[in-house]
Amino acid sequence: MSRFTGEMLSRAEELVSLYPDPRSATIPLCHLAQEQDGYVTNEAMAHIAELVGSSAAEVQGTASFYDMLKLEPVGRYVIGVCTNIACMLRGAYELLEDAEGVLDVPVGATTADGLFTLEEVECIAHCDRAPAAQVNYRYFGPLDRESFETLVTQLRNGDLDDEVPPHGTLLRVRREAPAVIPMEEIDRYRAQEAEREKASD
Amino acid sequence: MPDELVAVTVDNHSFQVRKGVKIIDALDDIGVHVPRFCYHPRMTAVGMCRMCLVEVKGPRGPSLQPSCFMDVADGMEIFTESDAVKKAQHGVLEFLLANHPLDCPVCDKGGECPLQDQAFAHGSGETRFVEEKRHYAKPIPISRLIKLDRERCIQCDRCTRFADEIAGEPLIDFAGRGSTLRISTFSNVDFDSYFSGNVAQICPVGALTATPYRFKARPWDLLQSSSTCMKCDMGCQVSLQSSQNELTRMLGIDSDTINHGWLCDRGRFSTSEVNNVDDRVLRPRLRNQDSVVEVSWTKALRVAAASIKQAIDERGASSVAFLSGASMTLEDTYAFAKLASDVVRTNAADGAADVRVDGTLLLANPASINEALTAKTLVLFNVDPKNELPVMHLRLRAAIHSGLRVVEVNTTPTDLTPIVDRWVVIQPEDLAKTVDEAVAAVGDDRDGVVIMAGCRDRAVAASLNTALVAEMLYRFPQAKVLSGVARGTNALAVGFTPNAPQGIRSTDGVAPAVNADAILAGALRGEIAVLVLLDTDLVRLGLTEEDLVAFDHGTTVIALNTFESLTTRHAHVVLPLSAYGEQQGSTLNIEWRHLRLGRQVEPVAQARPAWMVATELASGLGDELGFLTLADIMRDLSQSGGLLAGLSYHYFADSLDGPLFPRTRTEPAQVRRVLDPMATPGIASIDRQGANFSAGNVIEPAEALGFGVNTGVAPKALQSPSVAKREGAVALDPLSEGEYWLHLVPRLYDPTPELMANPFLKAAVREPVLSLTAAQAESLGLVDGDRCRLVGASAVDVLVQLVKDDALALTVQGVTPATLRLIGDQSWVKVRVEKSNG
Amino acid sequence: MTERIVGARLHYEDSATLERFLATGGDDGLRKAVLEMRPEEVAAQVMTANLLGRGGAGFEAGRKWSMLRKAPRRYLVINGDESEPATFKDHLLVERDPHQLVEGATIAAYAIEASFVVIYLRGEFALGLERVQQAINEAYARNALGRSIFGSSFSVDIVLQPGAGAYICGEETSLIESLEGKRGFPRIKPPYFPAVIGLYGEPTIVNNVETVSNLPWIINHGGEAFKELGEGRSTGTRLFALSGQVQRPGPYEVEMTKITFRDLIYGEEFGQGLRPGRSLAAFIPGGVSAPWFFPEHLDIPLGQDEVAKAGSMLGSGSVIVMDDSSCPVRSAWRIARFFARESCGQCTPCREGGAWIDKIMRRIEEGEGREADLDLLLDLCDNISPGIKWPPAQTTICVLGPSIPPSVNAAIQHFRDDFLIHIKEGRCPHA
Repeated sequence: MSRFTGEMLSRAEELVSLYPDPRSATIPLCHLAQEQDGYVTNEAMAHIAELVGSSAAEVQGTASFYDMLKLEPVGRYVIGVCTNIACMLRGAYELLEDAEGVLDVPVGATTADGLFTLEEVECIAHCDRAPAAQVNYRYFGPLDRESFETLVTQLRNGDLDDEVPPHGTLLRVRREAPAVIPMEEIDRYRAQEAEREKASD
Repeated sequence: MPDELVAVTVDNHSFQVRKGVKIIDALDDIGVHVPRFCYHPRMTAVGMCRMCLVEVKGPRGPSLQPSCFMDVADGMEIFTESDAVKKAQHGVLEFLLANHPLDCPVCDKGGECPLQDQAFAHGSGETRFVEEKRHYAKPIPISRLIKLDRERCIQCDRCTRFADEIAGEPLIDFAGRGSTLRISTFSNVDFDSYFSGNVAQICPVGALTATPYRFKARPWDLLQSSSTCMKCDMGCQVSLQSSQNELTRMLGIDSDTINHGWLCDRGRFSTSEVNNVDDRVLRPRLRNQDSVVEVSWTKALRVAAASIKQAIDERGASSVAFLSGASMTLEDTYAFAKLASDVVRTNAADGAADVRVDGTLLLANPASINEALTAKTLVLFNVDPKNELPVMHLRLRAAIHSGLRVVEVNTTPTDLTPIVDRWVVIQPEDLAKTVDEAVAAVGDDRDGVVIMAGCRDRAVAASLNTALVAEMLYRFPQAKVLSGVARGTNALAVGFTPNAPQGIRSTDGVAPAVNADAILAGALRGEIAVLVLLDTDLVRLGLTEEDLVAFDHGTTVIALNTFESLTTRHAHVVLPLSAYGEQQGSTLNIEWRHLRLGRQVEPVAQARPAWMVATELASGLGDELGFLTLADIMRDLSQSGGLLAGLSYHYFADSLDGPLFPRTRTEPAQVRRVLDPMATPGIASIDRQGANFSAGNVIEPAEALGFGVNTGVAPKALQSPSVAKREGAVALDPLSEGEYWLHLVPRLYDPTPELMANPFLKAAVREPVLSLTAAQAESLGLVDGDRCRLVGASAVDVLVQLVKDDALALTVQGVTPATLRLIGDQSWVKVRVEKSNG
Repeated sequence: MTERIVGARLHYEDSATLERFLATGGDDGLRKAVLEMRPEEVAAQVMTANLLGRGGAGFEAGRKWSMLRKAPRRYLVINGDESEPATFKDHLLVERDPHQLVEGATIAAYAIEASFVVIYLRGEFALGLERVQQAINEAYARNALGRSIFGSSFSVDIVLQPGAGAYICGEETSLIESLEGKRGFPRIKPPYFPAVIGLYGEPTIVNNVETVSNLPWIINHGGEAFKELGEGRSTGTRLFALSGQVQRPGPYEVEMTKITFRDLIYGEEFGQGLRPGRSLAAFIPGGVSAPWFFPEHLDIPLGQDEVAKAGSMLGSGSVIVMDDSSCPVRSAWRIARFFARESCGQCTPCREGGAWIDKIMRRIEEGEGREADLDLLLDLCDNISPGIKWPPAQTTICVLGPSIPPSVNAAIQHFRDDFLIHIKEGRCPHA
């Protein structure tokens, strides 16, 4: 478990194949690991290191740099209340306090039922709907205590399942395209073009 | 070629500086010191700490620029003393200190700490930081040898850069971001590297400390001298430090010709075994059947001399054999070489049991390390630098990344294989083809080839290995050769082995003719009356304890040893030798460079240097060697002609490395060594940390030599038969059904008495493993973690380990007493694989 | 009537669909480019248009392209890592007009003859990521991407890369590091431009989402037409993101230089002013890295040079409005805290200085400040950005650290009394 197997492994290999250098797939693979397990497990990081040709310490170094990549388990829904300036000016800290009250957990914690993790986040570019929040990176706003409560209830009841997949699933649209053109082939195209250019000049 | 120069101004004074260097290096050259933390002259500049900011005038006026990152340019105006520079340096220092704990009094780095020194030089007397400092659990072990204190870390990236860039083992990396950026290993994976100690040395604060040194001493109490690591013949230059008559640590010195400041852990932490008196041979003793008695030196020497004399008288000089596989000092080696050849006059003497290639090939046209690393093509032949000459592995990695073209010819891959230009496998089935492939891999440009020739794979007999190296040299007659043999240079250089070229030392004594294998075989047949062992454990040469017991019937074993072992337990006369750091002297490295050895502590208990024992034995035999001091030995050796003509201690008086031998070899003027083991981050620390030649017991220059310096006598002519012509000599009998060619390769931490005496390193010893690819394992019906039985000269149980990469053949990693028993007298060892009963 | 370029489709409910895209001139620019123009002709149009980069630095896109080092391989990276606080224009464009982005990226790829294109989108834009991936898939399906685009001899692939939550990756060299699978540590300069050494060490162009979204229009209408909009160096239109304490925050596409901040904040078709009874305390003209503006700056036009002349920057085009009910100490602290949290940690002044300033500001905001803290703050700012001037000098590797001082300095200089009340009375005058 936690290493990529079956379909996840073939998706992982496809991601690696997209780039001229396999290491570029590191972050997409971390997202894939989160889709599989909800967070990036140690086993997944070790496997990613094998797939892209880095050391596990390097994959960890990368993964631990980014806020979205969780190295510890989180709830099914990670709720991030934005408190950056635009939201703050429109009541974000009050909303955050309300959120703590509604979920009955402090910022950074996960509810006992494992459903919600509450975070305070930096600007999510939803400032025209301030104060705003994201649930697994799906955006909501403007929110107040009442609408936040409603949101939580809907999530709990599964009313938003279509809109908000469990934490870790980022893209539900998969790449549908022919295999990436090998760089060598592109190199040849470009060289031919340059030749043609030279001839026409 | 002289460096091209450009004109710059520094603080309004004009200077000519080397073109294309970093500003910080140019400033160092003209004596202007810019404070720094992250910059290390042997690693890529990263410009992270911002301590080295200087002002550089640009089109829009002066701006602050990291001097470690920007190259000098003609006409550049640099300011190092302006108010803006001073404020920036002050500011950066204050930022670095903001979260730094105030535990200097209990910090190992205290007193030699660049942060402390630079705070003293550039910082303010008081702190403006009244907030809570960062806290982490501390210290945490990141390996058996290294502890990490993340609160002290200043995120300079030196350790992580070393691991990634220099060692190629990125097992530590930053984790987190911003103010929580910290050094981390992955999960429970240790920073398990042969080179881990370097990160503690180059850490500019006390964040990374070496466990063996923690809380052992205060820097200002340390005495030190310049010395050479003796764990292999790379010759790494070190500062050997001691406190209260105990070795405390070794730090690498940046020798441009040798180790660039790096050390391997085997060498760096070898002081711990010297200090372990429980495992040292402390006093002379005699054994008679079951009784062991400690005796005086006088008595022990008398017994030893008497048994040698008796053997000579009764069975002839050849019944006395001298044997060593150790790295002894040049002086010790020479003393015993002379004892054997001139006094005992035996031809059974081999002080280079580990050398399994004809020394003539190594010495005919020798290359220096730097010549090898700047060759047009370097051929690695049957050598695994990482496990045999570890720091050479680092030098090779750096050279390959700077464009060195390497053709690796080995029986099984090494850690360099992934980055070499061409890889040629030595195929037992078709050795002629192997040579052809290697030649083809070098290509048409055959000038400027250097061959680094070793004897890594123990399954390949010395004669075959020699034939292959000879064939390579025949194909590349202009090639220079760098020795890839881990131990034995001193014995080769003084002709204390049959492997040495004839005439390497002029003597009217008896030249060695019986090599280590033949000596051991003779001893086992009862043909050797007295076996004199020099710091050597016979078990490491393939004998069993039963063999040792059997010596009670007819062979007197005189063991001069530093550490206890099965050999000392069963020897009849045991004489305690002084250890590394307990005696002065000198040594030669793989490039035949003469290097100094410092003495920092008194020999433990009654231990003595081997050369003294040799002179005593000579007089016990009614003769004399003719020397009473090291200087006498040096003079004698220098006058013995051959390779070492012109040998002296004189050149050690300056801060350069010794010269290459024979002295006819030329090399570019040496770069003065960067003596500061920290690689110059501080100001005060430069003085404090440089190996101080006036401290400790540095060898005094000898008197002027009273004779002209001879050029080296040309070693015996190289025979150059081609494989094609003498196919038979290098063609092996094919395998029988169920047989496999064996590969038996050493690892750095293969067990030896010294290693087992090292409390910090002995845990690194692993049992030997049989590496197989999945396909090989399947065909043998084995899986990862199985045990199986290899049947060669005798049967040995080994652990099976599946390897992912293309280890091309059945490879046993680990040369141990057990695996050595697989070796018989074949040219290439064949084995059968059986399922183990266990 | 405001000209609309990048936002022309946004008033359609279904602006994100392929049908709407194709029905409203979609693909025309790309077809024209690859079928009728040579790459350098495309680049020449962009040079003529004087299209300024919309990411924040405002560097001319055409000039950037012209600096590309000659090499067999060259890469194009579209920077959609929009994370500058109060900036939400790219968010809008990727969610609401993803096809235009893909078309623009393909035109840019053609113009610079890129070997490979990556659209790097902020990881938090889950919906945007899905829509852009859908648009890429549909582009392949109709041969607007891949081999021989629209039958031309031009072939290129676009790969969508999600970020993973790090503001610094908006900086182009750290975005490249991130794209190489590493921590987003900005690269130390020189080389100053990825156009010389970029992705995998090859020459690389990094263009912002809004920048390339302008390209279809420029190709269709010509660089001259684009240049006719706006004035001076500020040509075309821009999507301004208005946020904070205004009645109607939102994205507004306006012709450059033609309206003032007063128009944007108070105008009926834009922000519609502050809440009743409130007066303007300050506003930030171009993202939180920019020095603050005050009521006396309201009549400056929305143009790059005009704002620069007044001592700030138009940056990412986000305008944050603070009325007199807001606490400037708190606002400055929140901005400082943002940068402290987003510092990559690579270089000392930003890693340590940012965190330290955050702690002091927070202490003051919570009523635990000391008067000496104000001078200390300014001195720490000075040690990150010597002189605290504009444009900023720096002791750091990148400009993230030097983005802290403008807000701290503006707040201390203009609202010193607010600080002193916090410090001396332990209370916030705006609470």
